[in-house]
Amino acid sequence: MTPPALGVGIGWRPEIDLTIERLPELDFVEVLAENVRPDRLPESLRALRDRAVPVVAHAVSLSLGGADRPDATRVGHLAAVAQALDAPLVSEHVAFTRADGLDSGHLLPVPRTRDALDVLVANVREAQDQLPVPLAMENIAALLHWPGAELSEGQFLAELADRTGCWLLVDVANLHANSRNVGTGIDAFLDALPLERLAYVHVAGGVERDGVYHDTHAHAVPPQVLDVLADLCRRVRPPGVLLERDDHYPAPAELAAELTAIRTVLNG
Amino acid sequence: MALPWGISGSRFLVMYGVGLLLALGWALWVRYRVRRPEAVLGRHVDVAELAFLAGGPRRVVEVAVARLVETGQIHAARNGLLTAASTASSADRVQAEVLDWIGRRPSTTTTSVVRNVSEGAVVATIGDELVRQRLLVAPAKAAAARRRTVFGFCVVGAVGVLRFVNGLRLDRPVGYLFMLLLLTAALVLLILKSKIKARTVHGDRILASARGSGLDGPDRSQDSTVAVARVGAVVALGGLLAFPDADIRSALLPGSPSANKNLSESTNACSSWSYSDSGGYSSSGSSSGSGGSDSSGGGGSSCGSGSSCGSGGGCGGGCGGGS
Repeated sequence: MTPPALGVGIGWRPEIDLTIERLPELDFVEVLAENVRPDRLPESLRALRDRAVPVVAHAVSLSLGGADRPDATRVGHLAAVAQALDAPLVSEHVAFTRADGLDSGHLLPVPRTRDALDVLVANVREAQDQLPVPLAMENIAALLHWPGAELSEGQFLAELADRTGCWLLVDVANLHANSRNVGTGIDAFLDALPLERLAYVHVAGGVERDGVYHDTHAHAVPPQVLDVLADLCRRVRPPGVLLERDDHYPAPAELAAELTAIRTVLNG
Repeated sequence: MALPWGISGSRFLVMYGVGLLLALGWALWVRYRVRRPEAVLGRHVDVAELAFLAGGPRRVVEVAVARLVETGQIHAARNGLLTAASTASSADRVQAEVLDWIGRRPSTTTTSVVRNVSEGAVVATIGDELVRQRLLVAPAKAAAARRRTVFGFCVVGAVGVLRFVNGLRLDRPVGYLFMLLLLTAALVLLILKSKIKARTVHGDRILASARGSGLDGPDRSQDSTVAVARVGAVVALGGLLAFPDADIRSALLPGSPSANKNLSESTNACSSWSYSDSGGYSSSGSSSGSGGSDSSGGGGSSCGSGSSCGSGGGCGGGCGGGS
């Protein structure tokens, strides 16, 4: 099954819902599944669906990289949201957020070991069984990597996709952050991925302070992140590229300009 | 038996009635005069001043919010919350106040912004300028005029009460006088309740002229600057209910059933307003355009403050001869 063509989109946020609805040339949006109720979808999302704008459901709390089995309630919620939105796919992170009853509130990196991969694969398969649409897994931005890695980040994702059949969501801003902060090689990462399984791409802004790149989603997209997107686009044309903006929302014209810049890179 | 005060009861009743009529005439004269100061020549009003004339201080803030939304400096969401754009700024002082307020309170509504910014010094200076141009009655002058309107009734009523007490003491019939005293009290309450319109007749004419010029007519311009100016004029004259975009109108007036009302209905609605009892420029009986923006405010959504302003035909001439 080939990932559907999505185009260029933006992360839907309630603070800027009307602004998003009015953006020119908006092909699709992505909504944080945990923030919506399937039985009471926001009016804005219903309006977008009425305009045949695809809505992807994006999860942040399944903790599929954790040692625990997936929480059926959380997966069920994601499935219900996907159905309510008629989402073409859903996505989640290669990360864990809970362990031993504690919730980190952050996406934490998974040790890149064979054992951790086995657990992740099992969890992803279990989630897939409950989900009505394909699942795409996303690389995260990490400020640390666990010692004893047996696989590179690209290899880890490639094996995950191969063994579960999941699609990939490549966050080029996270990749840029990892390149700056923990030395991930961008080319090596992209070369390792089965890019035919690429479902879509995340692009976001950030800022570098004291030698550390912060993936804030609250700043303009820096040229370096667009360069990573261009690197990816030289290898494959992504079915979709999505701009994430979570705070300090700029004026609508600036958001539109960022989408145009993304589209320009996408169209080479 | 000698007549009390040398006046028969029936004669006193006639005299009391005449006194009431004179007091009523005095009240109407005071109300008439306070809204007719000598005109200032060469007047010019900008959109903010026009908004103040049309709907009071709150309307000024509504115009600022509308223009900020139209220029993309504020994101209006369907849940009614306003978010300032990260790079938002404005040279306009009222708009700057609005941005400052929203910046300090991330989850704020139009209601909150309008209520709080309209009570600030920046908006008050616009009112001061309109008073200086004699387009608005000064709030203190309006309050003093209201007190003066009941002066005649108080004098007549005091005489009536003395006569009433004296009649009781002499065991005279006082039924008719008692009814006239009740009427006097009712008239005093009615006049005190009937507030004086904030605009002078010169302000009425300026507003009627603005309405007649078609400033709030349909926008056929492709120029965004002109479009923003037109939105400002439309909201100045009709309030946020006149905001041309229905979705944004609903976002700016969440929960207001009238947010979806017909545009021409709202823009043509009569918008007389008067000062509230809280002092300063704060208004009561605000226009139909701004009424929905603040359900907690002192204003209703009805037209004006009991004036004889007719509906639909523009307020200039109609209100001029009213209260």
